[in-house]
Amino acid sequence: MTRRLEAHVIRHMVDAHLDVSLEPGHVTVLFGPSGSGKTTILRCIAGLERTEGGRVECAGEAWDDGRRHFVPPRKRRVGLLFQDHALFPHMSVAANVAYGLPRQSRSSRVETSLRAVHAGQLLERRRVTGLSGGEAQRVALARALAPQPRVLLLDEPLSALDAPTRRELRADLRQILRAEGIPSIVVTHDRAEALALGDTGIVLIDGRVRQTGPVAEVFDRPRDADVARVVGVETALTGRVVACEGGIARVTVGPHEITAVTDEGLRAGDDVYVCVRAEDVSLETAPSSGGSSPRNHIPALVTDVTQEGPLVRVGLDAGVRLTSSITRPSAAELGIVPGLPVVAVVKSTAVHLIAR
Amino acid sequence: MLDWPSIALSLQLATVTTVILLAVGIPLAAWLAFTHVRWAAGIEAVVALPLVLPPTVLGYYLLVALGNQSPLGRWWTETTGSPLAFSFTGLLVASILYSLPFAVQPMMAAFASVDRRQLEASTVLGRRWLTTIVRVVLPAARAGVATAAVLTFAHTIGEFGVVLMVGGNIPGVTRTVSIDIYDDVQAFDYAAAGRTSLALLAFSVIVLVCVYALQRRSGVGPGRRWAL
Repeated sequence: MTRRLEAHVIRHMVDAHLDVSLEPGHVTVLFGPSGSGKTTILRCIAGLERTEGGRVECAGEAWDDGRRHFVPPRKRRVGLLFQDHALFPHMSVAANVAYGLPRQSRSSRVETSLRAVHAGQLLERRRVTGLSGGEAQRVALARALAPQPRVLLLDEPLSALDAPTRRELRADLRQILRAEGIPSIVVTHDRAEALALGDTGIVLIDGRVRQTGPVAEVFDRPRDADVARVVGVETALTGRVVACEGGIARVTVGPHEITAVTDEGLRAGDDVYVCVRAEDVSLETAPSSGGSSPRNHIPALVTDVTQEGPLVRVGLDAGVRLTSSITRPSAAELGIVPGLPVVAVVKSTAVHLIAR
Repeated sequence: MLDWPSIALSLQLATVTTVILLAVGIPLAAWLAFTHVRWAAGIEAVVALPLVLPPTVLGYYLLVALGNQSPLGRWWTETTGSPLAFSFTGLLVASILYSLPFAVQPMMAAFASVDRRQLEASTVLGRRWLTTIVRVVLPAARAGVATAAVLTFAHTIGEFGVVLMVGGNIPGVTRTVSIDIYDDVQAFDYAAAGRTSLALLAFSVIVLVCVYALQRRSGVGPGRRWAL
């Protein structure tokens, strides 16, 4: 039995071929701007829409052959989390979670599921209309997880929440998805969400899959200019927090240690993505005498130089890969050529940490 | 004095009609609200017909269909031993058809306004269509169902033309309260007609207040603007 979900979704403007891992706990992120067809793909996988001549196959079992054969959603055993929870308003929290469960396993699974999403305290028969956005989304997640689906589909699961709740749930969500061991597909247009949650990243533009790969690689090395525009021009490096105090974190990245300002509530030992926009990386040819406000001075070698209109994109090897975007006159003044030793300078406030 | 046998008959007719129309109307309204087939528009039009047809036209066709000249009427008489036209059962059939839009339309509107994602959540969670209707749609649309019941009941109490055509005017069998008023007027008993009319007027006002109160509570009516 293959542990993969294959979908060739043809519908409206979408013509996308996906091959998604169903290894336990594997999270695939479907990333793209709004209107790129992410939700359509998710709905075709759930069976809420049919593909028009495409194909959906889960672990070797045909769900939709684009013609006659179509397994209805209720027989697919998928879990679906909507953007704004879609809880049943007339039912209690427990009744919502129990909805997809067979009678005999109800009471035990309801409790386990609510605890798994860190919402055990909502077990008392409270109505769902009184829940906060974050609580409601946790209950909806518990409802989707309770019947132990073969794959969990999350459609912009955090986008309807306010920023602090989103951050809190984002960190929890990754841990919950790993712990439950259910493979998931997350649709999002938020890069922090994609980096925080995903193992594999799939970039979708105008209904076509444009890049697939490990999520950090997709964000760090966009294949072409279109993908770069969509994922944003940020370097995403993997790092580990050494210390974090008063909102300032020290993080090791490859052979370097850098400082960053953060409100993610990180602790020493946490793994993070270190994101820096190319525009925020300036270059010096000689180490400055110290005393400057930027905290991060990283020695590097120029690997490649690309002209981009008035700007020059400079690829750097600092033991890790960095990208700097500087103006043409600056590049000329510094005499930037491949092989030149430089110092990359980054302000701590320009370093963006995402817990992973 | 009010004509109590007529009032009792009207109440009996309205109650049975309402019960049957809810039983028939809920599945029909659910199907109309959610189906994608094109010819549903045709069914919707047939359901709405009694709203625009003169009651005498509907009554005429029913009389022809239920009378002893029709296969249905003959079959009924042979099976039960009594004719369908000018009987309580015939009246019931007529009432059901005549009040059909008053039952189906409010429920259809209420069902269609239930959040689609809740229906999708239900099917993805492995539930059949029928379970989804019973456990998700009906509770969410209960105000619409209540409105349908009240309107059906009230409309049946007030019907006149169809009753006269199909039921005639047999005291205790087909003589409803609205026929009673007509009879009183024909007999120049304006006092009796006035009393019964006043009772029906009061009843209608109470029913309408109930309907609009229900709609306000469910957020369908204008009260919603102020509640927000």
